[in-house]
Amino acid sequence: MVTLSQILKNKKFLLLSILLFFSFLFLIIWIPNFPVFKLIIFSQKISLFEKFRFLITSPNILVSNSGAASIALTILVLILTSLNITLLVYFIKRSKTLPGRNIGINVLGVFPGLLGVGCSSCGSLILSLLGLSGFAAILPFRGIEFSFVGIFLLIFSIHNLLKSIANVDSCKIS
Amino acid sequence: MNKLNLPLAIIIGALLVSGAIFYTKKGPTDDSVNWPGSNNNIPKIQTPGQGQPQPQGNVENVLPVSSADHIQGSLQAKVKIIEFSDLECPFCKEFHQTLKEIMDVYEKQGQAAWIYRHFPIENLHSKAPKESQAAECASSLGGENKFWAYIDRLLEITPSNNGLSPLELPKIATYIGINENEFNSCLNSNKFASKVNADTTDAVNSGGRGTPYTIIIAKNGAKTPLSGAYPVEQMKIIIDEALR
Repeated sequence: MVTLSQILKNKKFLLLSILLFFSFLFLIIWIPNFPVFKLIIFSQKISLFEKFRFLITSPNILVSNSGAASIALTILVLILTSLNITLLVYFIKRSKTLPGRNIGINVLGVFPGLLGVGCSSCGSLILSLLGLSGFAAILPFRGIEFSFVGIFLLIFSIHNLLKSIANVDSCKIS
Repeated sequence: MNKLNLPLAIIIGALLVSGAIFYTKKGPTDDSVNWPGSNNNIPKIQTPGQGQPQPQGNVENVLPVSSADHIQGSLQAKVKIIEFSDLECPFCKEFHQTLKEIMDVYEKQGQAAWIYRHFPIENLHSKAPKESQAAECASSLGGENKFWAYIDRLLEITPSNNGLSPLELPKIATYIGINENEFNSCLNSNKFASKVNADTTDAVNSGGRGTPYTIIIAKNGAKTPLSGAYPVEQMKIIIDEALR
Protein backbone atom coordinates (compact mmCIF):
# COMPACT_ATOMS: atom_id res chain seq x y z
CA MET A 1 0.00 0.00 0.00
CA VAL A 2 1.18 3.52 -0.79
CA THR A 3 2.01 5.44 2.34
CA LEU A 4 1.31 9.03 3.15
CA SER A 5 5.01 9.79 3.57
CA GLN A 6 5.72 8.52 0.05
CA ILE A 7 3.16 10.89 -1.36
CA LEU A 8 4.36 13.82 0.73
CA LYS A 9 7.94 13.24 -0.43
CA ASN A 10 6.72 14.88 -3.60
CA LYS A 11 7.32 18.56 -2.85
CA LYS A 12 4.27 19.67 -4.83
CA PHE A 13 1.91 17.66 -2.65
CA LEU A 14 3.71 18.62 0.52
CA LEU A 15 3.37 22.28 -0.43
CA LEU A 16 -0.31 21.73 -1.28
CA SER A 17 -0.90 20.22 2.17
CA ILE A 18 0.81 23.12 3.88
CA LEU A 19 -1.05 25.71 1.81
CA LEU A 20 -4.37 24.00 2.50
CA PHE A 21 -3.62 23.89 6.23
CA PHE A 22 -2.89 27.60 6.45
CA SER A 23 -5.80 28.50 4.15
CA PHE A 24 -8.26 26.65 6.36
CA LEU A 25 -6.63 28.07 9.48
CA PHE A 26 -7.05 31.64 8.29
CA LEU A 27 -10.57 30.91 7.04
CA ILE A 28 -11.75 29.65 10.42
CA ILE A 29 -10.19 32.68 12.11
CA TRP A 30 -11.46 35.27 9.68
CA ILE A 31 -14.90 34.07 8.62
CA PRO A 32 -16.56 34.99 11.94
CA ASN A 33 -14.67 38.27 11.99
CA PHE A 34 -14.95 39.27 8.38
CA PRO A 35 -15.90 42.91 9.15
CA VAL A 36 -12.62 43.36 11.05
CA PHE A 37 -10.68 41.61 8.32
CA LYS A 38 -12.25 43.94 5.76
CA LEU A 39 -11.58 47.01 7.92
CA ILE A 40 -7.87 46.29 8.19
CA ILE A 41 -7.03 44.68 4.85
CA PHE A 42 -8.93 47.17 2.70
CA SER A 43 -7.88 50.23 4.66
CA GLN A 44 -6.17 52.89 2.56
CA LYS A 45 -4.38 54.22 5.61
CA ILE A 46 -2.72 51.14 7.05
CA SER A 47 0.67 50.24 5.62
CA LEU A 48 1.21 46.95 3.83
CA PHE A 49 3.61 45.92 6.57
CA GLU A 50 0.99 46.47 9.27
CA LYS A 51 -1.59 44.58 7.27
CA PHE A 52 0.84 41.70 6.86
CA ARG A 53 1.68 41.79 10.57
CA PHE A 54 -2.02 41.74 11.42
CA LEU A 55 -2.59 38.68 9.22
CA ILE A 56 0.46 36.78 10.43
CA THR A 57 -0.39 37.32 14.09
CA SER A 58 -4.07 36.48 13.64
CA PRO A 59 -3.70 32.86 14.85
CA ASN A 60 -3.31 34.50 18.26
CA ILE A 61 -7.05 35.19 18.03
CA LEU A 62 -7.64 31.43 17.99
CA VAL A 63 -5.37 31.07 21.03
CA SER A 64 -7.26 33.85 22.85
CA ASN A 65 -10.56 32.15 22.24
CA SER A 66 -9.83 28.49 22.84
CA GLY A 67 -8.55 26.24 25.55
CA ALA A 68 -5.57 23.95 24.95
CA ALA A 69 -7.73 20.93 24.12
CA SER A 70 -9.80 22.91 21.64
CA ILE A 71 -6.68 24.28 19.93
CA ALA A 72 -5.17 20.78 19.70
CA LEU A 73 -8.38 19.40 18.18
CA THR A 74 -8.56 22.28 15.74
CA ILE A 75 -4.97 21.74 14.58
CA LEU A 76 -5.60 18.01 14.22
CA VAL A 77 -8.77 18.55 12.20
CA LEU A 78 -6.99 21.03 9.95
CA ILE A 79 -4.03 18.69 9.39
CA LEU A 80 -6.30 15.76 8.56
CA THR A 81 -8.49 17.91 6.31
CA SER A 82 -5.44 19.17 4.40
CA LEU A 83 -4.08 15.65 4.02
CA ASN A 84 -7.48 14.34 2.94
CA ILE A 85 -7.79 16.93 0.18
CA THR A 86 -4.16 16.45 -0.90
CA LEU A 87 -4.70 12.71 -1.24
CA LEU A 88 -7.87 13.32 -3.20
CA VAL A 89 -5.98 15.57 -5.61
CA TYR A 90 -3.20 12.97 -5.89
CA PHE A 91 -5.71 10.26 -6.67
CA ILE A 92 -7.49 12.33 -9.29
CA LYS A 93 -4.16 13.25 -10.92
CA ARG A 94 -3.01 9.65 -11.10
CA SER A 95 -6.21 7.93 -12.05
CA LYS A 96 -7.80 10.74 -14.06
CA THR A 97 -11.09 9.78 -12.34
CA LEU A 98 -12.84 10.38 -9.04
CA PRO A 99 -12.57 7.69 -6.35
CA GLY A 100 -16.03 6.34 -7.13
CA ARG A 101 -18.44 5.77 -4.32
CA ASN A 102 -15.84 6.65 -1.70
CA ILE A 103 -15.86 10.30 -2.81
CA GLY A 104 -18.78 10.80 -0.43
CA ILE A 105 -16.70 9.76 2.57
CA ASN A 106 -13.74 11.84 1.41
CA VAL A 107 -15.83 14.99 1.25
CA LEU A 108 -18.14 14.09 4.15
CA GLY A 109 -15.24 13.75 6.58
CA VAL A 110 -14.26 17.39 6.19
CA PHE A 111 -17.49 18.89 7.42
CA PRO A 112 -18.08 17.31 10.85
CA GLY A 113 -14.50 18.15 11.71
CA LEU A 114 -14.93 21.79 10.78
CA LEU A 115 -18.28 21.89 12.61
CA GLY A 116 -16.46 21.13 15.81
CA VAL A 117 -13.98 23.94 15.43
CA GLY A 118 -14.73 26.85 17.64
CA CYS A 119 -14.09 28.44 20.95
CA SER A 120 -14.63 26.34 24.03
CA SER A 121 -16.79 28.99 25.59
CA CYS A 122 -19.00 30.16 22.81
CA GLY A 123 -19.30 26.90 20.91
CA SER A 124 -18.98 25.84 17.36
CA LEU A 125 -17.97 28.54 14.94
CA ILE A 126 -19.61 27.11 11.84
CA LEU A 127 -22.80 26.26 13.69
CA SER A 128 -23.06 29.80 15.01
CA LEU A 129 -22.62 31.16 11.49
CA LEU A 130 -25.48 28.91 10.38
CA GLY A 131 -27.59 30.25 13.23
CA LEU A 132 -27.47 26.91 14.99
CA SER A 133 -25.36 27.80 18.01
CA GLY A 134 -28.31 26.84 20.16
CA PHE A 135 -27.93 23.28 18.97
CA ALA A 136 -24.26 23.23 19.94
CA ALA A 137 -25.09 24.75 23.31
CA ILE A 138 -27.16 21.71 24.35
CA LEU A 139 -24.23 19.38 23.77
CA PRO A 140 -21.96 18.86 26.78
CA PHE A 141 -18.86 19.99 24.87
CA ARG A 142 -20.63 22.78 22.91
CA GLY A 143 -20.15 21.21 19.50
CA ILE A 144 -16.62 19.91 19.98
CA GLU A 145 -18.19 16.44 19.68
CA PHE A 146 -18.30 17.08 15.97
CA SER A 147 -14.52 17.35 15.94
CA PHE A 148 -14.25 13.80 17.21
CA VAL A 149 -16.71 12.54 14.60
CA GLY A 150 -14.85 14.51 11.94
CA ILE A 151 -11.46 13.14 13.01
CA PHE A 152 -12.82 9.62 12.83
CA LEU A 153 -14.29 10.20 9.38
CA LEU A 154 -11.15 11.93 8.12
CA ILE A 155 -8.87 9.10 9.26
CA PHE A 156 -11.26 6.62 7.66
CA SER A 157 -11.27 8.68 4.46
CA ILE A 158 -7.46 8.96 4.35
CA HIS A 159 -7.19 5.20 4.84
CA ASN A 160 -9.65 4.58 2.00
CA LEU A 161 -7.92 7.01 -0.30
CA LEU A 162 -4.55 5.37 0.29
CA LYS A 163 -6.05 2.00 -0.59
CA SER A 164 -7.69 3.45 -3.71
CA ILE A 165 -4.40 5.05 -4.75
CA ALA A 166 -2.62 1.71 -4.41
CA ASN A 167 -5.19 0.07 -6.73
CA VAL A 168 -5.31 2.79 -9.32
CA ASP A 169 -3.00 1.06 -11.75
CA SER A 170 -4.48 -2.39 -11.40
CA CYS A 171 -7.72 -4.17 -11.91
CA LYS A 172 -8.76 -6.51 -9.15
CA ILE A 173 -9.38 -10.13 -9.96
CA SER A 174 -12.95 -10.85 -8.94
CA MET B 1 -16.69 -5.84 6.54
CA ASN B 2 -15.70 -2.89 4.25
CA LYS B 3 -19.34 -2.38 3.26
CA LEU B 4 -20.29 -1.93 6.90
CA ASN B 5 -17.65 0.68 7.66
CA LEU B 6 -19.58 3.73 6.46
CA PRO B 7 -22.93 2.87 8.07
CA LEU B 8 -21.03 1.97 11.23
CA ALA B 9 -19.30 5.37 11.26
CA ILE B 10 -22.63 7.14 10.85
CA ILE B 11 -24.23 5.09 13.63
CA ILE B 12 -21.33 5.81 15.99
CA GLY B 13 -21.58 9.51 15.23
CA ALA B 14 -25.34 9.52 15.76
CA LEU B 15 -24.93 7.61 19.05
CA LEU B 16 -22.37 10.15 20.26
CA VAL B 17 -24.63 13.11 19.53
CA SER B 18 -27.84 11.52 20.85
CA GLY B 19 -26.02 10.26 23.94
CA ALA B 20 -24.81 13.79 24.58
CA ILE B 21 -28.33 15.19 24.21
CA PHE B 22 -29.71 12.51 26.57
CA TYR B 23 -26.94 13.20 29.08
CA THR B 24 -27.63 16.92 29.20
CA LYS B 25 -31.40 16.52 29.42
CA LYS B 26 -31.66 13.70 31.95
CA GLY B 27 -30.98 15.26 35.36
CA PRO B 28 -31.26 18.55 37.19
CA THR B 29 -28.93 21.13 35.79
CA ASP B 30 -26.90 23.68 37.62
CA ASP B 31 -29.69 26.22 37.14
CA SER B 32 -30.98 26.16 40.70
CA VAL B 33 -28.46 28.39 42.39
CA ASN B 34 -28.87 29.19 46.06
CA TRP B 35 -27.42 32.21 47.74
CA PRO B 36 -28.15 33.60 51.18
CA GLY B 37 -31.66 34.94 51.62
CA SER B 38 -32.69 34.68 47.98
CA ASN B 39 -36.08 33.52 46.78
CA ASN B 40 -34.54 32.13 43.57
CA ASN B 41 -37.31 33.78 41.61
CA ILE B 42 -35.14 35.09 38.87
CA PRO B 43 -36.68 36.04 35.55
CA LYS B 44 -35.21 33.95 32.74
CA ILE B 45 -33.06 35.94 30.39
CA GLN B 46 -33.56 34.86 26.80
CA THR B 47 -30.29 34.21 25.01
CA PRO B 48 -29.63 32.40 21.75
CA GLY B 49 -29.76 28.66 22.25
CA GLN B 50 -32.70 28.39 24.59
CA GLY B 51 -34.96 26.98 21.91
CA GLN B 52 -35.60 30.46 20.53
CA PRO B 53 -35.28 31.26 16.83
CA GLN B 54 -31.94 32.84 16.01
CA PRO B 55 -32.38 36.60 15.62
CA GLN B 56 -30.92 38.36 12.62
CA GLY B 57 -28.61 40.73 14.53
CA ASN B 58 -27.08 43.72 12.88
CA VAL B 59 -24.33 45.85 14.35
CA GLU B 60 -26.25 48.99 13.36
CA ASN B 61 -28.97 48.01 15.87
CA VAL B 62 -26.69 48.56 18.86
CA LEU B 63 -28.14 51.05 21.32
CA PRO B 64 -26.30 54.39 21.32
CA VAL B 65 -23.78 55.02 24.07
CA SER B 66 -25.14 57.32 26.76
CA SER B 67 -24.41 58.53 30.25
CA ALA B 68 -26.55 55.65 31.55
CA ASP B 69 -23.85 53.22 30.38
CA HIS B 70 -20.88 52.01 32.42
CA ILE B 71 -18.03 53.91 30.82
CA GLN B 72 -14.31 54.13 31.39
CA GLY B 73 -13.09 57.20 29.61
CA SER B 74 -14.98 60.11 28.15
CA LEU B 75 -18.41 59.93 26.53
CA GLN B 76 -16.92 62.24 23.89
CA ALA B 77 -14.00 59.90 23.13
CA LYS B 78 -13.14 59.56 19.44
CA VAL B 79 -13.44 55.76 19.51
CA LYS B 80 -15.90 53.83 21.61
CA ILE B 81 -15.37 50.18 22.52
CA ILE B 82 -18.66 48.55 23.53
CA GLU B 83 -17.93 45.23 25.20
CA PHE B 84 -20.70 42.70 25.79
CA SER B 85 -19.41 40.33 28.42
CA ASP B 86 -20.31 37.24 30.43
CA LEU B 87 -18.62 37.23 33.84
CA GLU B 88 -18.20 33.44 33.80
CA CYS B 89 -16.71 33.28 30.31
CA PRO B 90 -12.97 32.53 30.50
CA PHE B 91 -12.29 34.50 27.33
CA CYS B 92 -14.10 37.53 28.70
CA LYS B 93 -11.84 37.27 31.73
CA GLU B 94 -8.81 37.38 29.47
CA PHE B 95 -10.24 40.11 27.24
CA HIS B 96 -10.98 42.23 30.31
CA GLN B 97 -7.23 42.43 30.96
CA THR B 98 -6.61 43.21 27.29
CA LEU B 99 -9.03 46.12 27.41
CA LYS B 100 -7.46 47.42 30.61
CA GLU B 101 -4.10 47.50 28.79
CA ILE B 102 -5.75 49.17 25.80
CA MET B 103 -7.31 51.83 28.01
CA ASP B 104 -3.95 52.51 29.67
CA VAL B 105 -2.71 53.52 26.23
CA TYR B 106 -5.78 55.12 24.62
CA GLU B 107 -7.79 56.67 27.43
CA LYS B 108 -5.54 59.70 27.72
CA GLN B 109 -6.44 62.58 25.39
CA GLY B 110 -9.92 61.13 24.99
CA GLN B 111 -8.86 58.72 22.28
CA ALA B 112 -10.99 55.79 23.44
CA ALA B 113 -13.75 54.92 25.85
CA TRP B 114 -14.68 51.46 27.10
CA ILE B 115 -18.36 50.75 27.57
CA TYR B 116 -19.35 47.61 29.47
CA ARG B 117 -22.69 45.91 28.81
CA HIS B 118 -23.90 42.58 30.13
CA PHE B 119 -24.30 39.52 27.96
CA PRO B 120 -24.56 36.55 30.31
CA ILE B 121 -25.12 33.38 28.32
CA GLU B 122 -27.36 31.59 30.76
CA ASN B 123 -27.52 28.24 29.00
CA LEU B 124 -23.71 28.03 29.24
CA HIS B 125 -23.15 29.79 32.57
CA SER B 126 -26.25 29.69 34.75
CA LYS B 127 -24.64 31.82 37.47
CA ALA B 128 -23.63 34.62 35.13
CA PRO B 129 -26.93 36.58 35.07
CA LYS B 130 -26.92 36.88 38.86
CA GLU B 131 -23.28 37.99 38.81
CA SER B 132 -24.22 40.70 36.31
CA GLN B 133 -26.97 41.84 38.67
CA ALA B 134 -24.46 41.83 41.53
CA ALA B 135 -22.22 44.21 39.58
CA GLU B 136 -25.21 46.50 39.02
CA CYS B 137 -25.95 46.44 42.74
CA ALA B 138 -22.36 47.49 43.42
CA SER B 139 -22.84 50.37 41.03
CA SER B 140 -26.12 51.53 42.56
CA LEU B 141 -24.74 51.37 46.12
CA GLY B 142 -21.24 52.69 45.55
CA GLY B 143 -21.17 54.55 42.25
CA GLU B 144 -19.53 53.92 38.91
CA ASN B 145 -16.08 53.24 40.37
CA LYS B 146 -17.50 50.44 42.49
CA PHE B 147 -19.04 48.85 39.39
CA TRP B 148 -15.64 48.57 37.75
CA ALA B 149 -14.01 47.50 41.01
CA TYR B 150 -16.65 44.78 41.41
CA ILE B 151 -16.18 43.27 37.97
CA ASP B 152 -12.38 43.57 38.27
CA ARG B 153 -12.45 41.62 41.52
CA LEU B 154 -15.00 39.07 40.29
CA LEU B 155 -13.02 38.35 37.15
CA GLU B 156 -9.86 38.12 39.21
CA ILE B 157 -11.18 35.40 41.52
CA THR B 158 -13.59 33.45 39.38
CA PRO B 159 -12.28 30.16 37.98
CA SER B 160 -14.76 30.81 35.11
CA ASN B 161 -17.08 28.30 33.43
CA ASN B 162 -19.69 28.67 36.18
CA GLY B 163 -17.11 27.94 38.86
CA LEU B 164 -17.63 30.92 41.17
CA SER B 165 -19.67 30.16 44.27
CA PRO B 166 -22.65 32.53 44.76
CA LEU B 167 -21.45 32.91 48.36
CA GLU B 168 -18.55 34.94 46.99
CA LEU B 169 -20.78 37.67 45.60
CA PRO B 170 -21.39 39.50 48.90
CA LYS B 171 -17.75 38.89 49.87
CA ILE B 172 -16.63 40.75 46.77
CA ALA B 173 -18.94 43.60 47.73
CA THR B 174 -17.37 43.77 51.18
CA TYR B 175 -13.90 43.56 49.66
CA ILE B 176 -14.50 46.70 47.60
CA GLY B 177 -16.09 48.55 50.51
CA ILE B 178 -19.84 48.07 50.07
CA ASN B 179 -22.17 47.26 52.96
CA GLU B 180 -22.95 43.54 52.81
CA ASN B 181 -26.53 43.79 54.10
CA GLU B 182 -27.45 46.50 51.62
CA PHE B 183 -25.81 44.51 48.86
CA ASN B 184 -27.68 41.30 49.72
CA SER B 185 -30.94 43.19 49.93
CA CYS B 186 -30.34 44.64 46.46
CA LEU B 187 -29.30 41.31 44.97
CA ASN B 188 -32.25 39.41 46.42
CA SER B 189 -34.69 41.96 45.08
CA ASN B 190 -33.66 41.16 41.47
CA LYS B 191 -34.22 44.83 40.67
CA PHE B 192 -31.49 44.80 38.01
CA ALA B 193 -32.67 41.68 36.22
CA SER B 194 -34.48 43.76 33.61
CA LYS B 195 -31.39 45.93 32.99
CA VAL B 196 -29.22 42.85 32.45
CA ASN B 197 -31.95 41.45 30.22
CA ALA B 198 -32.04 44.68 28.21
CA ASP B 199 -28.26 44.58 27.68
CA THR B 200 -28.50 40.96 26.57
CA THR B 201 -31.23 41.83 24.09
CA ASP B 202 -29.06 44.67 22.80
CA ALA B 203 -26.16 42.23 22.28
CA VAL B 204 -28.33 39.77 20.39
CA ASN B 205 -29.99 42.48 18.29
CA SER B 206 -26.60 43.85 17.32
CA GLY B 207 -25.30 40.48 16.16
CA GLY B 208 -23.74 38.96 19.26
CA ARG B 209 -23.51 35.16 19.09
CA GLY B 210 -21.02 34.54 21.87
CA THR B 211 -18.81 36.33 24.32
CA PRO B 212 -16.92 38.50 24.45
CA TYR B 213 -18.68 40.46 21.72
CA THR B 214 -17.30 43.89 21.02
CA ILE B 215 -18.41 46.72 18.80
CA ILE B 216 -15.87 49.35 17.84
CA ILE B 217 -17.45 52.68 16.97
CA ALA B 218 -14.85 54.57 14.96
CA LYS B 219 -14.25 58.30 14.87
CA ASN B 220 -16.39 58.55 11.73
CA GLY B 221 -19.26 56.61 13.34
CA ALA B 222 -18.62 53.36 11.47
CA LYS B 223 -19.35 50.29 13.56
CA THR B 224 -17.25 47.14 13.39
CA PRO B 225 -18.15 43.98 15.32
CA LEU B 226 -15.50 41.77 16.89
CA SER B 227 -16.38 38.23 17.94
CA GLY B 228 -14.19 36.77 20.64
CA ALA B 229 -11.16 37.90 22.57
CA TYR B 230 -8.50 39.67 20.53
CA PRO B 231 -4.87 39.94 21.64
CA VAL B 232 -3.53 43.37 22.61
CA GLU B 233 -1.47 43.86 19.45
CA GLN B 234 -4.41 43.17 17.17
CA MET B 235 -6.65 45.48 19.20
CA LYS B 236 -4.12 48.29 18.88
CA ILE B 237 -4.11 47.96 15.08
CA ILE B 238 -7.92 47.99 15.02
CA ILE B 239 -8.19 51.01 17.31
CA ASP B 240 -5.49 52.90 15.44
CA GLU B 241 -7.48 52.36 12.26
CA ALA B 242 -10.69 53.46 14.00
CA LEU B 243 -8.94 56.66 15.13
CA ARG B 244 -7.90 57.65 11.60
